[in-house]
Amino acid sequence: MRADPGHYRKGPEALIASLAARGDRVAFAELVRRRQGWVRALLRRCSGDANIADDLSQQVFLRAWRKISQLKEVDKFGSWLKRMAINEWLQHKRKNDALRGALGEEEITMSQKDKTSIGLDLDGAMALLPGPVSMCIALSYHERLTHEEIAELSGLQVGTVKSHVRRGSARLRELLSAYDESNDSEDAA
Amino acid sequence: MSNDRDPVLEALFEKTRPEIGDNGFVETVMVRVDKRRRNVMIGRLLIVALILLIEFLPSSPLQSSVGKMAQSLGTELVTLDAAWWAFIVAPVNSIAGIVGMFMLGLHVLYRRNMR
Repeated sequence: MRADPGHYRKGPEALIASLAARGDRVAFAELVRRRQGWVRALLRRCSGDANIADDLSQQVFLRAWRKISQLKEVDKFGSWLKRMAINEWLQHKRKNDALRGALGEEEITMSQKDKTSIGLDLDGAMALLPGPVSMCIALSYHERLTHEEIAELSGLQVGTVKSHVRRGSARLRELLSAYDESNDSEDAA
Repeated sequence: MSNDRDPVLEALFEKTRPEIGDNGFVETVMVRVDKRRRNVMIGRLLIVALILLIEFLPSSPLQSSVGKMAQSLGTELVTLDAAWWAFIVAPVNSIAGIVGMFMLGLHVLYRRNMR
């Protein structure tokens, strides 16, 4: 008998995750449907590139499918998946940092102050940060996690997370200084 | 609990929060999942076919060398006179025991490094 995807839509995530852990393909598809936006948005924030984020998100879900049978606490599927996304991002950054160092940084300039261009500038600025720093910034500002929660998820020390967030914030402010200036001039007007 | 978030950046992140629809993403992932399931299945079938091939084809040199290797795994490293003592140390007093412990050590190291 084939499982009806409609039945899974209303089910609690822990139940769906336990079914997926037993090899239920439809249950896993439901988990992908529920969590894809969240994983892709997080990786988009980390990478600053929608295409890279989608490629990495696919890898995250494929890895999740391979490893879900080992998931002991099905009610913690969300944090398990988030940890997997973070690892995928850090692995990707480790591979690409050397290449990026060779290319050098581009200066970010504000083109137009509409939501799209600000978003693009923020994405561009995020892409210039080192891997662990952009990850800490994304988890702090996008996911609104505390330093302690970021440390627990990423395996970094709390002090390191604080330093990454502080340094990353300062660097982002510097790269996006045009946004500040245009904000100030708008306020003055 | 601590956060130390910059209010300007906080507002910027909030303003530009990406809103992501499905856009065929779930389907793409599931196509890749299905492809992987198929490949795993094919891989398992190939292994079974290979075992059957080795088993049934006239491959006596291969079979005899596998047999000899299996026999040598049970070889005692130290010959002990006392039967009870030999029984106690039997799990580690063989080539298979040493190989097993080595593999276990590698596995523990791998798990520790990957955590």
